[in-house]
Parts: sequence; C-alpha cells; structure tokens
Amino acid sequence: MIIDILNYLTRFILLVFFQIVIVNNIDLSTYVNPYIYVVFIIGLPYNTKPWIVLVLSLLLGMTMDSFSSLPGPHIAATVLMGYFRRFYLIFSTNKDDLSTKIEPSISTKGPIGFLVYALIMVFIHHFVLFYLEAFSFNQFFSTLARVFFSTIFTILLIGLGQLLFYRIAKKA
Amino acid sequence: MKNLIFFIYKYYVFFMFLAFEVFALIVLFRFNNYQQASFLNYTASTSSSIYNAINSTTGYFNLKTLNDSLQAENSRLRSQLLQSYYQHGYTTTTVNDTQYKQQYVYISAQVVNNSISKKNNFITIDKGSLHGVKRFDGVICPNGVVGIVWQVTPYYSLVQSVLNSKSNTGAKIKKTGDIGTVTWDGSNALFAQLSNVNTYVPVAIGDEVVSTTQSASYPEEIPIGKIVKIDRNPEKNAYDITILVHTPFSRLKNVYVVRNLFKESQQSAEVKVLEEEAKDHDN
Repeated sequence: MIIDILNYLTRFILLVFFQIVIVNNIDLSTYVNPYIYVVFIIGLPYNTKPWIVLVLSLLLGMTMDSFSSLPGPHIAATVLMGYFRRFYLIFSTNKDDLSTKIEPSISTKGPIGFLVYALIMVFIHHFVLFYLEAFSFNQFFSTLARVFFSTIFTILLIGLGQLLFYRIAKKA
Repeated sequence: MKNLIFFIYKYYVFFMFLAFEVFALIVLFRFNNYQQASFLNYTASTSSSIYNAINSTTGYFNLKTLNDSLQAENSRLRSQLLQSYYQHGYTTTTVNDTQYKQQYVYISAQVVNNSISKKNNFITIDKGSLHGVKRFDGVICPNGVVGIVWQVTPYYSLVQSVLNSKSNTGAKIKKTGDIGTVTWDGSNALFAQLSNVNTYVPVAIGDEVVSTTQSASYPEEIPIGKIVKIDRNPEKNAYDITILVHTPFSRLKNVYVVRNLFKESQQSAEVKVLEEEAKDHDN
C-alpha cells in the first residue's frame, strides 16, 4: 500500500516536472501544445475509487495551473477527464479486471484498445482546456485546430512512453 | 432529510465532480479580468523559485548568443556617449539643469518564465515593485519591444507580451511617421500585424516599424519589426500589414523595464482634453 502511494507520488512529480521543463518548451507551433501530464490519470489502476481519481485530478490540475499565468483551465479540464474515465472503462473493460489493480496500458488493453481510450480522454481534456484558455468562441476553428493537433502530439508522446515502459500485449 | 442525505451519499462522486468544476470556473472567472488581486501573488513564491532554478541551469546553453547581443548593444550605447562626439564650437548655456530632465529610467531584468505558443502569452520577469516597476510600464530588449507590465508583485512582474491577442501597441512607420496599431492574431510567433494605416500612406515592403510615445509606455523609436507583406482591406480603407518582429521571443533573456517619469503628467493632460471634448459635445 505505502509502496503504491510512493510509486504514484514519484510518477506525479516526474510527470509534472517533465511537462514543465521539457514539453512546455517544445515551441513547434502555436497549434501544437501537448499536455502529457494527463497520462497520470489515464494510467491509474482500474480499482481506484472514483473519488480518489477526482481528488487526484484536482491536485494535478491545480499544480499545472500554478505554473501558468491563468488559473482554472487545467483544473476544469483534468477533473472532467477524471470523471469521464470511469464511464469509458466500465464500457470497455470486462468486469473481472475492473476490480483489480491492473493499470490500463498497451500491455493490458492492447495497442488499439489503449490508444482509443487515451484518444478519448486526451481529446476531452484538450477540448475543455483550449477553449477555456482562449475564453471565447471568436476564433472557433483556429482553437479547434489547436485541440486537434495538440491531441495528436500528446497521443504520440503517450504512445512513445508506453513503448518505453510497457510490453505490447501478445495476440491471444 | 434522511432521503436527501442518502441521495447525496449515493451520487457523491457526481456531486464532488460538480463542486470541483464550479470551483475551477469560479477561479477562472475571478482571475480572468486581471483587475482582481493577482493570482501571481499566490503562486509566485513557489513556482517562480522553481522556474528560477530551472533557468539557472538552462541559462548556460545560450550564454554565447546573449553575450553577442549585449556586446552589440554596448557598442551602440558607447557610440552615443558624450565622449564619442566631437564638439563643434562652444556651449552657449552654462546651466543646463533646467534644459534636461530625466524622462526615462531603465530597470534591467531577467526573464524567469516565458511562453510563445499560447494565444495569450505572458512573460514573468524577476523585478517587481521593490525595484520600482509599476503597472503599464513598457518592457524592451536589446532587439526591440517586448510588452507591457501587467501585474506587479514585490519581487516579480507579469508582462503582457506583444504576442498576446489582447495587446495593442502604438506604432509608426519610421520612414513616413504615420501611426498605426500593432496586434497579434495568435498564429505565428514570428509575425505580428500592423493595422489602422491609411491607404494614402506610401508603405513599402522592408520599411521599419518603430514604437511611438502615444501610449506613454515606450520611448520614441524602439524597433518593433519590418514590413514583409501588405494587403489592402477594402472595408476599412486601410492596409492590413504583416510585420516580422525583431524581438526573439523564443529565446528572450535580458530585458529592460522602461519607467516613464512623465507618464502621469502626459496622461492627466490627455484625460483633461478628453473631458473637455466630452463637455463640448454635451453642450
């Protein structure tokens, strides 16, 4: 139990650090702002209590917001994503797995299953985040393009991370 | 009552979710008009010191280019020193105290945090009210204008970058002297837009765009950019001009806060004129 908490605390700190020091400094274009830190919520074990997921989302959002000049968007986006996580998992995972502490990853959900799951979560997060950051529907389509390209890059980074840290599931 | 408690208990996750979202939106709306007590006050002490630690390590990587630009600036300033001018004739006035009064004070600062990829970009610098920085002071760098001070805390200030969709910088075309407004459309960090330039003005590609004292935040003729594209806006009888900004926003390090000592008197004079105009209009 304590080992688990320490494990996830380290992951939390490392992801926030990685996001701020490296990913935020990738100035590819104004349309590409990947936010890789959401993988913390995506990768929580199946049997994490929903309220714990929400509290962790809030903490993660607040941490990210305190490093930006405008507070709020990261909290709103991460909490919404954390709330929807459970619904997608109930729908896409079998009941036996849901009560275990297996983490959703490419080795447990398979490459395609995991990518679809990550894509939906990241899209919800980025959609809320970028529209709240822009704070208007003035440039609706340019913000939508931002959401679209940033989601693709976040998924690419998450996929690379999964390939580094997990083994791909063998075909059954 | 019992039922209500049971109901809340049964759907506690949903209510928790609602509470968190409402919290996020309240925070967002409260701080989104920057007039309110600054969010920076709460987070500056921790996040800025972390940013400082990061910067002190990454700062080594571009020391060479920084040195080059500082050296270039030094040589330019050296050439403006009184010693480097040959004196023709003799001075006619003995007391020139009354002739020259300092108008601009420059406070050097370091960029602590910077972004160029958002729609509304802000820059955090390591000088604040303790060093004499005030709200709406201009910020420039050796290459050109950077932005306007937006929030001030004792040790840090938040600067609204020129690369901010809400920024409006008063500017003029150096060759002709015609004024316009520099804005940013949020798409590319290298280019800004110059609008409100009338179509009778003879503009050409390659013309320099510089700052004016209109806004009282910048000194006269600080470079902003170079015209690279001219489009005619048929609706407004004005040009839509694209300029290549001189300031390297992506690797900004050393900046100067410009304190205009006459700003208050300039603005109070302008306000008086506006008030009188309003009165005339009423009569």
